[in-house]
Amino acid sequence: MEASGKIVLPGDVLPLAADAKKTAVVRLGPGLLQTDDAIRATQTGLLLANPSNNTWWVNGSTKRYVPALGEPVIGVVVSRTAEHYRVDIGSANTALLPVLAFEGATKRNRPNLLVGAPVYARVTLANRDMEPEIECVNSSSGKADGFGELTGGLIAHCSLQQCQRLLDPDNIVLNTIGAKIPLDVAIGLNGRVWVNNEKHKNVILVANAITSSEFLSHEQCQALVQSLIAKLEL
Amino acid sequence: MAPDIKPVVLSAAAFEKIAPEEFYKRFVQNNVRPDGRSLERFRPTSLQINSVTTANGSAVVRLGNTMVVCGIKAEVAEPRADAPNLGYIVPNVELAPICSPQFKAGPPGELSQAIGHQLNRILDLGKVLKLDQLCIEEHQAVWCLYADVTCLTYEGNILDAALLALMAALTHMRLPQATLNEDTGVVTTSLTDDSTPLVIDRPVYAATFAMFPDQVLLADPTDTEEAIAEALVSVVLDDQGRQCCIWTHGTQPQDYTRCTERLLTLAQQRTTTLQSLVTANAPQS
Amino acid sequence: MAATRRDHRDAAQIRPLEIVQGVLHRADGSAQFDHAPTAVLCGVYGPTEIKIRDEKVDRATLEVNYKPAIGSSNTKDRWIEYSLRRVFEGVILTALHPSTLIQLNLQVVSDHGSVLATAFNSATMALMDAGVPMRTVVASVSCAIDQAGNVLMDPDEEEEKNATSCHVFVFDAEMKGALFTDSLGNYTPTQFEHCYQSCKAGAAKVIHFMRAAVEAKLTRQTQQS
Repeated sequence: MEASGKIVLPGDVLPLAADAKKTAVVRLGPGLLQTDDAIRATQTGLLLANPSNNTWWVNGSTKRYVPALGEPVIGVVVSRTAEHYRVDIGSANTALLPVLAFEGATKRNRPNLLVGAPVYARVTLANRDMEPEIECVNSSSGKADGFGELTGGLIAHCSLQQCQRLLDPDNIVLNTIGAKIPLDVAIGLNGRVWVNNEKHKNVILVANAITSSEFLSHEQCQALVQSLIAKLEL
Repeated sequence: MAPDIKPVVLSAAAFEKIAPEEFYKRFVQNNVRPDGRSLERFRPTSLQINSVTTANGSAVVRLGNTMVVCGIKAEVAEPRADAPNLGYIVPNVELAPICSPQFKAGPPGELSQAIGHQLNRILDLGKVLKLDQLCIEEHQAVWCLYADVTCLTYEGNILDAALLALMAALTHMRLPQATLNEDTGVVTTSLTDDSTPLVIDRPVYAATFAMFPDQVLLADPTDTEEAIAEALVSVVLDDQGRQCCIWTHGTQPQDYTRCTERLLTLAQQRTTTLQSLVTANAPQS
Repeated sequence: MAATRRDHRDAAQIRPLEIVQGVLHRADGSAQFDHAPTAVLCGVYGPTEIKIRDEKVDRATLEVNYKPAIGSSNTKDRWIEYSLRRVFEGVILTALHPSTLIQLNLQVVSDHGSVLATAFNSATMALMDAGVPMRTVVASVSCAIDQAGNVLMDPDEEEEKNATSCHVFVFDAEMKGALFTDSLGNYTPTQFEHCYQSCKAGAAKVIHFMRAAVEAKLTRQTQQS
């Protein structure tokens, strides 16, 4: 698996070890495609592998979101009908959010979202030939699991890769600031991050830190966070 | 119990609709095309010269079911300051909904503008004719030839048909006698029998091929063949057999080292055929 | 053969290449590609929502908008758009995003010859930056044959004007053949073959350069994690 960590361009052939090809099942993640003769990259990025189950994928950089099943996303309601909200989640097509897909919602008693309302939801249908569908409730437990309308706060926009990095429990920006002030954060994998705090100034500082830390090294990030902490209203 | 799988019987029309590539592959394997032609055969081509009496020159070309009319209208215009003795030729291709439902009404589409520009480039960069023969009076007046190619029915290979119509119309057109009145600055024109025809230095003709897998080439493709081909190759040669233009565009790479010879041989034969068609079809005056 | 060119290049020499990716803030992917001084900027949007009349249910629709450096666009630009669209429709894996629109917007920043080849290269880099799935990368190089019969690679505007023929080729990374060819003028089959081989070698260099640019950019970015 020494090939993992290599930078690939579209069309590059996946350098599978000759012996691995016969025995093991190879699992392909994003950015890879099997053609007639080989497995090739379709996107530019870092070729990564998980040796334990022989899974390969390309970690590319994109700004446009393509929905994937089960991913948390932040969207904005753009219109509503009797049965659905139409939510912009940054993908090619707007997503459908059933009006009853909320915790404890019934025909009589259900949340009333206005056009423009931000929601935190999970993708329940991601098929390239159909409109994506999302929900704000865990349909097996009936609990919200933290999903639902987002009130107050600010939505920061960043690249899809930055969102994934923010999910890392060791992320410097969120960890260090979170240790100083109480912080509400919702991370959508569609390139949107929602932050909230009692003080507006703090919200803006954190949102800026999230967007500007994308291309910084570890040390630069630490310096940025330290300078921010000095400015926070505690 | 194993499910009872019945073989699906498809009509030819349904097969073509569902899997056009596979449908064509079956034909190509037997060296024949759905319209009965062999692979390297062009569709029957006919030409009618100067049947549009209101134009200064015209040609009607039928290439199988592709039919185009080219009309050339000469108008007096002012020359460009940096080229005071050069006239203009403005080719324009029109693909209106009348010729095929695939074209929408409204401003000219991408294909018609692209083909129109390709004709322009062939005339210009291919040095087909000298524009100074369109001069009426240096710095004052020159001829501008509007060459409008209108497609009546569209069944693919518009470039071959349009270029043939344009060449035929240019070859047989007559420019009116024009004189500039120095005092009034007005150009008077008169069409007489002794009007001189244009001098075409380098008559050029196109032969378009659709490339299919394994270096199979289909001459003079129809629109269905164009849609599923790996690439389209248009070879433009002059009457001496010299290359004027090779225009290839498509989805799969084409290795010229393996197919150029065949392409050039076929294009050469086609050019000879078209050249004799144009010269033999001199209009009866 | 020491053909002196206006900018003191060798006949086979390509002008200095430069790539900047991600130059446009709002686009999903962008790049500026220079065959200095010729430069083309490209911004990619997609896959995005599509108008119903342009929708294709089995693949993405590709739209190309090309704006010249000077003046409003005319039929020449439609021809360039058609050429780009034909090539990239085969290169982009459009079946992965059915019923969507992928939009390529090109703006010529400065036009000093070989602008079509530069546009192809710029579009490739922008598509890579946007992460649009592609079958391969493509690179384009043009050449011109002058009155003396010399093959001049990557000609400038003066050399294009005085040439007896101009040739543009587009190759993919496997270099098995040309995806696009535009050869125009008066030339022999031997000259054509020579141009084809020279441009093939040139395109290999361009792809090598593209790879180096991508690696440099990604290495910088991944230092963080």
